[in-house]
Amino acid sequence: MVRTKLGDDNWHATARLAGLDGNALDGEKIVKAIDRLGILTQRLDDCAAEQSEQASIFDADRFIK
Amino acid sequence: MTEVTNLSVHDMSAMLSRREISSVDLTTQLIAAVEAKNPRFQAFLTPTFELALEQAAAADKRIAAGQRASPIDGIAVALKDAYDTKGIRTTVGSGLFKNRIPMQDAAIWEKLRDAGAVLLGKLECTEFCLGGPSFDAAFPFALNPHDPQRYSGGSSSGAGAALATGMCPAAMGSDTGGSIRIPAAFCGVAGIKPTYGLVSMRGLFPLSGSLDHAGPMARTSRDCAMLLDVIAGYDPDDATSSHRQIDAVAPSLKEDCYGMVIGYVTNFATAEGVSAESRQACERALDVYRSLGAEIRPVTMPDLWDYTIANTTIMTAEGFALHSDRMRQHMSEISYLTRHRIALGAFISGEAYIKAQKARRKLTEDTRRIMDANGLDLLCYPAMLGDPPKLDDVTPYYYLDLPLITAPANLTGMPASSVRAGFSEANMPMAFQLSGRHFDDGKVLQVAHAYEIATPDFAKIVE
Repeated sequence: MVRTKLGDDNWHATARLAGLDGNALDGEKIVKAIDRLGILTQRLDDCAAEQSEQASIFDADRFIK
Repeated sequence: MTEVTNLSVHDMSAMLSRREISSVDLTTQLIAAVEAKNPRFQAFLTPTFELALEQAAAADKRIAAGQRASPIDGIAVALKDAYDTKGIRTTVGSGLFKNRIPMQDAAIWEKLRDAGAVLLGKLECTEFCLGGPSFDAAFPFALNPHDPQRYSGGSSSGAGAALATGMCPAAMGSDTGGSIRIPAAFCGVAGIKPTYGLVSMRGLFPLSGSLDHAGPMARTSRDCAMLLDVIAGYDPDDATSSHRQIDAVAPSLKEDCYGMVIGYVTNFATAEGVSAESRQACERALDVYRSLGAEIRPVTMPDLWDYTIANTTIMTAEGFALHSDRMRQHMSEISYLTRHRIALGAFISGEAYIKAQKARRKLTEDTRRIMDANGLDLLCYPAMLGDPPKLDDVTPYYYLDLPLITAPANLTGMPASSVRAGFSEANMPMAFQLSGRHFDDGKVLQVAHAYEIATPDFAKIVE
């Protein structure tokens, strides 16, 4: 599973680590969004599993061939 | 009789060629339309009327001398305020940039200007191209002309509103997750997100470098084709620009679709959140295409959520990387919705970003493979889940609740246009998307154009 960087109850500390002022953000909304994103990004595991490591490199010419 | 300001770029261009109207007259009437309507719809952020009249006068001289620079010489355009314009304020919709005056022009404006276009002004866009609709933003957001209580779509909101109200015939938008196609759909106009790499993004303020696309919006797909013919082309100063280019689109547009095979993406049309009305509008469009000679084949693509979450993960991570210093130093000066959406990127791991890029490759290859296996020229699916949301219903993370039906084309880089498809029971515009293989932008616009010619009653300008 792809995890976000955050647990449920320490978003303020993580926001500080990212250099953000948590007081300017609605913590409840952020935590809900992070949880939702964490659930959704599980889908990426299946999509990414069959790909080589090089597949993550963005290369416009190869991308559009 | 149709007012001249409400005509298409194509028809205005023909009138200029025949000398039935001058560019100065045309521009003067458009300026009057902006002065009359903009206080109500808030589409223009920075009008450039004086410059427009100078450029219009120069266009008239070229036309009189038989030296018209292009089919859009003398035609007024407006730019989303994310495109740099030398010496003209460019805010990207943010109060942090309220006095930002670029030193260079964006590549798109260089090309339009060299083709003789007249700059009518800069159009409202949601803050940093992802914020709207923010009631606390530095600048008021453009209202949906069909219902001011509903969202006009973002982030090229000003373009959608200006076109739908006859304030300008042509505009430039940008699209990272649907920011051309969504306001086009919500406002009942046309827009195409071109193939990634076809149009230079130099001088377009980025949101997510690997997903951003620059492209035209207008009231018809033929007008989008005329504009795309001007702005497409390799740019050595844009690392994302492709050497591969396409033939001019507008001169070869036809009004039938014989020989075209269109795939109806049934799992997108029945995805979570898609309304019956939106799906039926798409299916009615396919009936029109059958009558125009196209063959329709149902097709199943990967799950729409897979495209959506890969696109959202990449966009959010790249967006935070772009704005991290600004967020650390000025977060409280950034509007509520924008700062929350950007902040989410701080919590996306490197692992998630890499997996999203891998997923992107797989989804792109799968999309192409399925088109090949089914012999498809184009894909067709709804452009919107349903009616535009009410303004009060747009929350910071509403886009995580339902799949984003415009995301597949951003993720794959394939061209996709939004095509108007009538009106809902709530009398709001409806639209479907046509998407093609990379560099089949001409085919997308050709088929969109044929539909618009067959359904003239769907064109509506809000007075």
